Amino acid sequence: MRAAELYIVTLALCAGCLDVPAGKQPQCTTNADCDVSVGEVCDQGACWGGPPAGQFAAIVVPPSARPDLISTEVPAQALASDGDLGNVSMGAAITVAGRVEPFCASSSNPCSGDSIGATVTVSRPSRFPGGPGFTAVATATDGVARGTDSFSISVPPTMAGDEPFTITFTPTSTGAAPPNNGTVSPAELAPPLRMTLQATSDTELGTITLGNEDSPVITGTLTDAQGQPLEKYRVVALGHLGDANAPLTQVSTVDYTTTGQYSVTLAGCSDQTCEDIIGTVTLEASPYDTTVAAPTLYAPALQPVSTEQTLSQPAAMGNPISLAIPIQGLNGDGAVAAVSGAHVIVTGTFVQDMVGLGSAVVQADVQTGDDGIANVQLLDGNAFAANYAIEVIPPANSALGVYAKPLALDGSPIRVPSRLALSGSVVDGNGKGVGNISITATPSLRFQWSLDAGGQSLLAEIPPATAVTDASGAFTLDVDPILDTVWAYYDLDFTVPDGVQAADWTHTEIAIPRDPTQTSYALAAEPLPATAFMHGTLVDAAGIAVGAGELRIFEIETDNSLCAQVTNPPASCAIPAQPLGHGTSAANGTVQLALPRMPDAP
Amino acid sequence: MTRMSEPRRRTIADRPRKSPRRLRSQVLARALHSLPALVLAGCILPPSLSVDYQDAGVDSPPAITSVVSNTQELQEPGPVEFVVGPVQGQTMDLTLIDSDVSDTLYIRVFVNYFATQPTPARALCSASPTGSPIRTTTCDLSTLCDPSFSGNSNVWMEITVFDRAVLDSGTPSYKATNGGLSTDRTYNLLCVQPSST
Repeated sequence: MRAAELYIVTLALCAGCLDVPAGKQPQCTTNADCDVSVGEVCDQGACWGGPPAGQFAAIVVPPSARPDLISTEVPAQALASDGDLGNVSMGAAITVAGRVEPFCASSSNPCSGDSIGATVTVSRPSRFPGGPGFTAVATATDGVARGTDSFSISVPPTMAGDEPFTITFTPTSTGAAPPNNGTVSPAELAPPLRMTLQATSDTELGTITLGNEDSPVITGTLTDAQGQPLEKYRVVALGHLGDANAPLTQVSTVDYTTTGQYSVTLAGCSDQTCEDIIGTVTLEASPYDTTVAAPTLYAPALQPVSTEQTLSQPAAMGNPISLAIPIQGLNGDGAVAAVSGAHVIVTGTFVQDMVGLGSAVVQADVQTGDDGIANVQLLDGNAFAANYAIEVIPPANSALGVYAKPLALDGSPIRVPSRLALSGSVVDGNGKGVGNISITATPSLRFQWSLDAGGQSLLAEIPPATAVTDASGAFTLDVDPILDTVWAYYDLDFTVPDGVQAADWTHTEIAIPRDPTQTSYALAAEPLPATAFMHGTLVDAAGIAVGAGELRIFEIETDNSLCAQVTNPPASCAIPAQPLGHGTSAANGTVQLALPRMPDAP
Repeated sequence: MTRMSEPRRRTIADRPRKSPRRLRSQVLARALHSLPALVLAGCILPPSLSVDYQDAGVDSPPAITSVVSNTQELQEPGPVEFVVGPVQGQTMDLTLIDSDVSDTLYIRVFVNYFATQPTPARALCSASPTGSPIRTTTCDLSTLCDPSFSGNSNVWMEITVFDRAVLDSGTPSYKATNGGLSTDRTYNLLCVQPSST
């Protein structure tokens, strides 16, 4: 670059004077040059302000170079009409530290006193409706002797009105199979623990002991249909820790049994700081011998007390079969083509006739190769053969869509449907196409919450379609028009590249035409949004400017009428706050954001 | 998950991402900076309209300078937590540098991608050329977490940035390109079920 400048200078000296190219003109010289009707003001040659109306919140994220600071929520972020956000402060971090140790059950199992490895998750509900809340994760190291912390995690201090933190300690697991080096994983030694905490300053938790002498223990046997013990199964209890509406998680130790005998210790409390299992638990026994096709067994709902439970494979499981399922679709010229890179899930479920005997599930989860073949290992007995279902999820941006139907074990090809080509264009104020705008199609809440649990789970498997506008502003997104019997709605998120003087924006709830024969749908031209430019300064608790921090503005949804319009909203029906814009602070702390002036406009 | 090129970590320039046009632009600053040359030459020289590109004419690798979720800057190796999807508004902002200012950058987010068991990207996004080496882009991660990842601590998220389009087929699967360079960051990913509140 310097060489290039030198070249230009030399050229100028040699060739005489060059014409000065027209530079950028200032956007404004007085307020009158701006849109004063929305509150814009002229400052340093630019128009600022005129923000959208509504309720807004902010999250200020500190740079990683400032570990003394912590992500801070601003529940009510005023957007001044002149665009000046003033100082936006991020709070000082406090630390929560301690060490994690398993309960030492008896002298027959000598205790080293060392810590065990665990994942420590600290979370707190958002301080504003629909916000992402606070979450921090740390790893507690193993082998730390008593007297030394095995984890330390930065969190914001608890303020008046804040919910307490929930801290979950999950012993490190090796997953589906036991450690391959003959050792015992922490997840086999201790159950998880969940506790709540209010912390206004640095907090030393001391030693957190997972499990206690009163922890319930479930023991039993895994057998085949003839009563013979099963080998190489992983057994764990699933349940809700601390909250009946909490996610279903592992709530016990893990037992990798090689004899068919198992024993799992449930999470439990010995004092008021931790939380018990709420409701019943389910035992899950999954095979980890990859050379054997065997079902995962589930016990019926059990009370979280010490008990014995036998889990048995169903009769008539049949024999293992290897099935090569061709996954096909029609390509652009109408020819049948193999679908590579598709995610294929085959599930067979058998529910025992007698109440209390639980269920068994055979599942294969594979990707198709370049040949479009899904190679799965299944069982062909009557217990499962009539109950298999297949889900096929083509890769993102494929023109072929999702398929979810019962599966016959005859190896016949699966023909997936074509997706709907959703096309449109982005134009500027003069109707001219705008290129390089990134667009992502995400399922609208209305679509998600109209699906049942299975449909929502399937939706979670589908990567969003993305596209970038070409030079003419045109784009095409391939989307699934329908899942099960529910017609889709999509939100289109438009991301504007740096340098384009417009905010990112979202076009919400685009209804897909209810016509199964329709293969494409053209949207009206999408104009760049009217944009409000805002500015402020990120500072720390002492008021000193912070560079490389991030300010994120969210719009709080105040209209919850959607909850009554859909069939399967979540229990809380909290409508997520929508990210409106974000900016990174310069070294002097100044931050600039572009916000859509009418974010709720369709 | 081999690191294909070491990102050059630079400080993010003091440049607003999207800002209104300003009178006090870098153009003016450069013009003033060039004043001695003007005096020497006795005439007006054109101010440079470009930033420091450092484009040497050969392909340079893209670099990831920051990855920010809704609530934190993500640090390798994590762990980092995301919610099982679909989750409205679950996004990630990337700040990237590529001195090849005309390159479009293609971002792919993989979960548990192994050479022996490659899996398609779970999220895609791109950063269009803007004439500047520094780009920012937002990637939608609404379906990053598959329900089957929930509760498994041995899950890895790999963010790979390519400076050439990723091909539909080829080797390595889902990462094949016609030449070009790439860089990546890898995080231990914790997928959690959505909370009830």
